[in-house]
Amino acid sequence: MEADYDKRLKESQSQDGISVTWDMGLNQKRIAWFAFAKFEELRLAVGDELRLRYNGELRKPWECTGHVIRLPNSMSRLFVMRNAHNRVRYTHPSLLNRW
Amino acid sequence: MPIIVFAILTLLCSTDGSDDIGLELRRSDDTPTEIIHNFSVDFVWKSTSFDRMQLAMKTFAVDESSVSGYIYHRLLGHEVESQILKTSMPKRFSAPNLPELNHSQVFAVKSVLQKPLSLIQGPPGTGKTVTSASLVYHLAKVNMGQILVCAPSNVAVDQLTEKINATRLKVVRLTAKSREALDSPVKALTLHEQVINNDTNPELQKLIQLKNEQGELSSSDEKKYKALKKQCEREILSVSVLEWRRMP
Repeated sequence: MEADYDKRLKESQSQDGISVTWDMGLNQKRIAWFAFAKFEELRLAVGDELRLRYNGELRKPWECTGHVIRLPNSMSRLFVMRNAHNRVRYTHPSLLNRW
Repeated sequence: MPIIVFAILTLLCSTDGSDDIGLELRRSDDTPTEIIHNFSVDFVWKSTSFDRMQLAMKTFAVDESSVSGYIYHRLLGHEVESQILKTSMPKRFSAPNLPELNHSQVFAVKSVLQKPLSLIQGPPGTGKTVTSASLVYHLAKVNMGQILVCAPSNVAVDQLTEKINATRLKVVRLTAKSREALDSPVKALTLHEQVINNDTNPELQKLIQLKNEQGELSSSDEKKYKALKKQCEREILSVSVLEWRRMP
């Protein structure tokens, strides 16, 4: 019962309408960068498992689990900056002004 | 010129990078990299703690040899003849570098040392942590083996780790992998930190440094790093008097 409650709490924290920047790590693993609303309240930690899902119309449904390697405002900022030029960017008209 | 360009690039990217979460995906094939909008993110619920609790209950229920006969019957509330352990009592009950124990704390330590199973209870601020740390100190002194200390919260474990460390016992704080990156007051005592500060294996040190500089390793280096890290962890745990853990 305690487990059920805990499970429901976690599952209620899902978020939709997330925009992703794709990246490839040095270890050849795919990395997704995205912003999360109410991040501070979520007690998210490096190593936590998240599932990324796509149910839109542009392709067949897709999902994949992964683990958090960087958090906003963590000490990784330097790292992110240094690696930013390696990033694979898929431009979308609405995002052009960000680059 | 190049310097200026770099500065602009940095500025642009830092506003982007610092606000984002980086998620390393388990699979790299079939990723819809042509799409960037309208994704959903779920939290994956981990049943680890609950699985362990249930496994412990099950083992206890079906395997009578999982705990000693005394503890088995005691936990089930059966009438059992009380057992007195023959422990040589320390002359001083207070542990080095910890506050002097009061009468009732000394009584608690004394009775725990003589019994296989004890329960100490007290209102907040009555010094249960100091009592527990003193207790661990004496158990380590009379007992040859390692001692495993558990607590229900990470804060409680950190406080106990601090106090036990003050008594000069060798203590290792084990944490869930997901907590390794979080800051803690007993950072230097955690197993992962002790691995980092360990200087017996130059190759492991080199890989750790590389990983820090680049943020990650190539898959062959990563494999080597994991094997060396495991070996190093074992070495640290085998020489420490005390092992320290909490469920993730």
